[in-house]
This record gives sequence, structure tokens and C-alpha cells, in this order.
Amino acid sequence: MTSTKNNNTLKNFLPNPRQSKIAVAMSGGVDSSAAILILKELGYEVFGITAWLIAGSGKCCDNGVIDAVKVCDQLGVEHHAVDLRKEFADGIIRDFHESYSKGETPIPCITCNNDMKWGALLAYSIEKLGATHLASGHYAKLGYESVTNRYTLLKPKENNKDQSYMLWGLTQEQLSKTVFPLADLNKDEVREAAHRGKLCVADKAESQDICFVSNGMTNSEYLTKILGEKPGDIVEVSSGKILGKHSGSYNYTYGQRKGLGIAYEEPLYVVEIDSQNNIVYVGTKDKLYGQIAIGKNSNMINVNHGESFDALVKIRYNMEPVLAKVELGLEDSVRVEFKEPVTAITPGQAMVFYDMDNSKEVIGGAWISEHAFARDRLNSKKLVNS
Amino acid sequence: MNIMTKKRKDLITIKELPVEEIDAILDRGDYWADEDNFRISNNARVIDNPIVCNLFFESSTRTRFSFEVAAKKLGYHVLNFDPSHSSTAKGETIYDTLRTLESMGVNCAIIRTKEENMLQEIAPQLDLAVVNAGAGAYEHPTQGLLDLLTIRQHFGRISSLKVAIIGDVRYSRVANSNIVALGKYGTEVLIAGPDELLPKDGAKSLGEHCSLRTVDEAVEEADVVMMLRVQRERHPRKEDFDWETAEGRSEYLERYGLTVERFRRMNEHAIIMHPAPFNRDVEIDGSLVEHSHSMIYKQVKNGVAIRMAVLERALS
Repeated sequence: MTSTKNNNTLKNFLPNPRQSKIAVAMSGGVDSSAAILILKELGYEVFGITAWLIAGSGKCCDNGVIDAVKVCDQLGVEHHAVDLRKEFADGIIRDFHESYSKGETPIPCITCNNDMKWGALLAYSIEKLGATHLASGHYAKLGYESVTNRYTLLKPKENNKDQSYMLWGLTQEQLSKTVFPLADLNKDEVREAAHRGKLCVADKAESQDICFVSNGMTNSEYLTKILGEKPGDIVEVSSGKILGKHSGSYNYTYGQRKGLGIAYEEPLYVVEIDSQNNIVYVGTKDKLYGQIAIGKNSNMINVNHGESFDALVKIRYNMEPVLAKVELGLEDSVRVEFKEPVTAITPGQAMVFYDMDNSKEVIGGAWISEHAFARDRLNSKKLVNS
Repeated sequence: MNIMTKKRKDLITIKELPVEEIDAILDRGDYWADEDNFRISNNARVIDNPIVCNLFFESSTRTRFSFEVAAKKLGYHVLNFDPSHSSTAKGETIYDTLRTLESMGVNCAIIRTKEENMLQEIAPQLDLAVVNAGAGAYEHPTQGLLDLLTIRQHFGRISSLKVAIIGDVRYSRVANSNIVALGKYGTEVLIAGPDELLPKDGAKSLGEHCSLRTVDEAVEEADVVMMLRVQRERHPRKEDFDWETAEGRSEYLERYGLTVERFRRMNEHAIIMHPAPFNRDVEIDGSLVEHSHSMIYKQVKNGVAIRMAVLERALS
């Protein structure tokens, strides 16, 4: 990793049009539709491909497929819907349920990116449909460093829509076959492109919820239906006092303040979910802070395994990255020590490491693991006690 | 749903089609095969036009593409549903998949499968039209129809002709569909080929209009010489023929294929047909594929035209 980038490395990397056939992952939304339009305008041989992940109750998989087909027809290119329902159910959805039952707050979209879009869908596109690359409508940028011979994952022009956080799990192999056509466009320009192409989805609304939770159902209703009610105690973390009851620890996430149903002199937050004993711990805001996070299954995009480095780190999607020291351990584990304490280090969420140069680049990431957080809390408890 | 109320028209097997209906499809196919109509503009495509879905559980780029071109020429949207794993190919799963596609607004499903009787079972339970794009060794109705169209275009009739069907009759769904279709017009069918690849119960088991010949007899007697592709993938005993060596393949050509020498003994007015893809220099000498008597490329074009007619009928 170099601290300053020349302009060339920050340019969006695109493959040679004459030697490429690009499968464009399409959800039927405006972003991916604009992505295929833009690539076609640039002279690439393209076709649309939609992963069919859930039948019936999904939000994008039924109408989305049809919209994707229509956009492809408008552009005069082929479209394929690949049946990945079994892979999605056995992988992403099962992991999602398991993660919640372990007291974590998962982000299935990241595993879906890694295993479905850049996994099964990419493999199918290459092996069965003759593609060389997979493009997506993500707002992210692909770089290439000729010195290290590495592909890099960069932030897009549209900072408000930056989705690089969701893509930290992509390996060099996956990145080498990736195209991000929206890298240098903002949302208005994307809509403009869709209107210019008279695409039938140009004015379609955005969807950002978890796609397999049915329409009209909240996440909590969904989890109750799948995991069943599991009543337990809500306990104040310093005093050990039982303050109330919950109907399932999966209904809570770290840092949650609303919906606890408890009257208390100070605002209370969820500070720990002990799924083994089915206890949701709450505490005042100061109990929410932690300074060390341990991660597992890390993926390093532009830094060598075994290195330690300073980075700007995000521990959830909607936050400004903060300064931390990242130590890479054995077997893809990672220890992150924040310069200043951060709130709600949440197991199941991802921590993503950005470069120190104004965080323009994702250099790696890892899943925040449960035990690490418990240990971190334990340490801080000891400190308080001593 | 009640079978009687199904609005859309399936095409599962030629057996169930009355001759008048076959004639109507051929007439419409003829219309689309006409050069002026064939070059129909694609610009008329409207967003709300029908949606057809290709579900190919056995790979066939050729037939899938032919259906896709046909649908797009009609202005229909095409959804290619790609099963990524074999479990999708089970009858129950296909039914669930089709129900879902139906609720998504798909109007017609074009299906190729290894299962021989599945489509008959599930089609009546669905509102969307089911078009058989090849079912195991059982039937391939659009291939049968396009062959009829090709014969009718050339001779102006289908009846009072002799059609030789030569080669892998036992494992060919094309042969099956053609034999049934020709039977409806009372056309005489001459069957020839290696014993291992002919019907186990003899030519007559295929219908009264069928009779057995040697390859040489069939070639000399016929008005239409239809060579079949050797369906190696369906053969239970792969060792019966030696396909791995050039000698083995040319031995098949010499004994059962259409050589130049046999071609010279054909009737002067006779035509050559073959449901592509062909194994060049196995069923047919490569030099004959593009001969003026060969209808092989005309069949490909008629394939699109007849599929346009079939899709229109399905969605009417």
C-alpha cells in the first residue's frame, strides 16, 4: 500500500472492449439497468443476468427479473435468470438465521455479494455463458496497481451512495473479473442515463431492505416467524437488575435505544446480547463504548497478510471512518484497536479498513466476531472494577 | 385449474394435434418464412407485450436461440431461465417454478427436459402456455412441424410422398415427432439404420405407415432422405460403436450414412434433410451439407418461422 496515489491508480479500471464479454448483474433497478446501458454505449458486448434467489415473496426477484428482461429487450441484448434459490436458501438465508440466533446482527448483503453475485453467478456467467467479466450497478470503483499487480477497491465519485463497504470481501480473483460502470457517476447522472436510454425502469424507486424479508413484514416479525418466540430477561449491565422481558434476543441489536419498553432514569442502550443465556443487557451510553474489536475471516485487498498498519475503520455502514491500528493475526483473524473508543462494536457486522489518505480505498475488512467483543467488554469491566 | 378453461394453447405432442390444426400452424409458418414477413421490424416491441420464458433443463443453444429469435421477432420479451443445478429439473420443482413465473407475468414457458411425460402432467394445471422444446427421446414437436413445413414448401404437399428416416431412430425424438406427424398425412415412412439404433419392436410398432428398408433401398426409393443425428448421449451401450477414432466414424458413414455415392443413387427430385446439429462425415458426407438438394439451412430458417407460428398460437 502506498500512501499517495497517482491519478492513474485512481482511475476506474475497465477491461479491453475487444476482448471482453460482460455479464451485467441486474436487479431490475435503475442502477444496474443504467450500468448495462453505459457498458453497451461504451461498445462492450454485454448481456444481462439476474440471480433468482427467492421465489414468490422476494422484492426484487419476481418483478425485478421481469424488469431486467424488459431493459435487456430495449437494449437488444440477451438476458438470463439463473436459478440460485437453493444456494441462497442453504447459504445466505441459513447463515442469516444462525447469526441472529448467536446474538449477532448480520449483513446478508455482503455474504450475498461474495458468494452469490461474485460466486455462483460469476462462475455461471463465465463457464456457461462465455463471459469474461461481471459488472454490477454498485457505486464503487475498481483500481489497478501495476507495481504490486493488484486490483484495488476504491470509493466512487458519488460519496453519498458509496457501496465499497459492502464489497470488502471480494478477493483478487473476483476483483480481476469485475467491472463497476457507475464508478464515476453520481445518482443524478445515473438517472439521466436511464432516461436518455428511455429505460422502462428510469423512475423506479429504490429498495434497500433485506430482500428475503417479505413485503409488509418487519425484520422482527420475520425472525419471530422463523426462530420462534424465545422470552428472556432484559438486564441492566452494571447492577444485574432485571428491568424487563424480551420475546427473543434476535429482536435487538447493539446500540439500540428505541423499543426496549423500559422506563429508567437515564436513556438505556442494548450493550450486549448473550444468546446462550438468552439475556439482553442494557446500560447507559458510557457502557456502549469499546476500544478493541476482534475480527475473523478477514480479506485483505491491498495489504499483505501478517502486516500491521494504521487505517481509517468503519464498523458499520453509516459512520465516518475512525483512526485505528489494525493487527493481522493468524488464520485470517484481526485485532483492531481504535484510537478513541467507539460505540456499539456489533458482532456479525463488518469492519472495513480504509487507507489513511482520506479513505479513498478499501484495503481490507473482517467480520466482527462475538467472543472478541465479550472479551473487550470483560477487559473494560475489569478496568472499572479495579 | 380446470383443463377446459385454459385459455392459452399448449404444444406438448403432435399426437394430440388434428391435421387441420397442423395445417393452420404450417400456413402461418409459411407466412413468417416469407422473406418480406421474416424481416419483420423489431422496433414495434412494446413494454407490455407478452413475456415468454425459456427453460432448458438439457442444454441446447440452437433450439433455445431459435425460440428466442422467434419470440423477439414477434415483439415478445424473453426470459431465459437457467437452472444452475439438477434439482430444478424434477417435476414438482418445475411445477413450482412455473407457478412462480406465471405469477410474475410470464405468459408462455418453452421447456426442454429429459423427462418424457412430465409436461403432459403439469401443463393442464397451469394458466401459462407450455411449449415442448424437446422431451427426452419422446418428442420434439416444433422440429416435426418445421420438417413438415420444409417438405410442404418443396413438394407442395405432405401426403403421397416417401420419406426415408435413416440412422438413430430409436433414440431420436425428432424421428418420433416426424413419424407421428407424417402418419397423420398418410405419408409412407421408410426406416433404415443399424439394428441397435432401430425400434426394438420393429418398424410397424411406429405405425402402419412405417416399414423397414436397408439404407441403400431407403435412399433409392425416397422423395425425402432425412438423416438423423447419432444421439450418443442417450445410448445405453456406448461400446456398440467406435466414435473415438476417425476409422470408427467413417465406418458408420460408409455403412449407414449418406455418402456421395449413395447421394448419386437418390431420385433426381429428392431432397436431403437433417435436424442439425449434424456430425459431419458421420451421418452425412460434409460435402453434401450445402448441396443444392440439401434443405438443412432452410430447415434452420423454417425453425424460426414455425416457432413464431407456435408462439402466436400459444398466446392467442
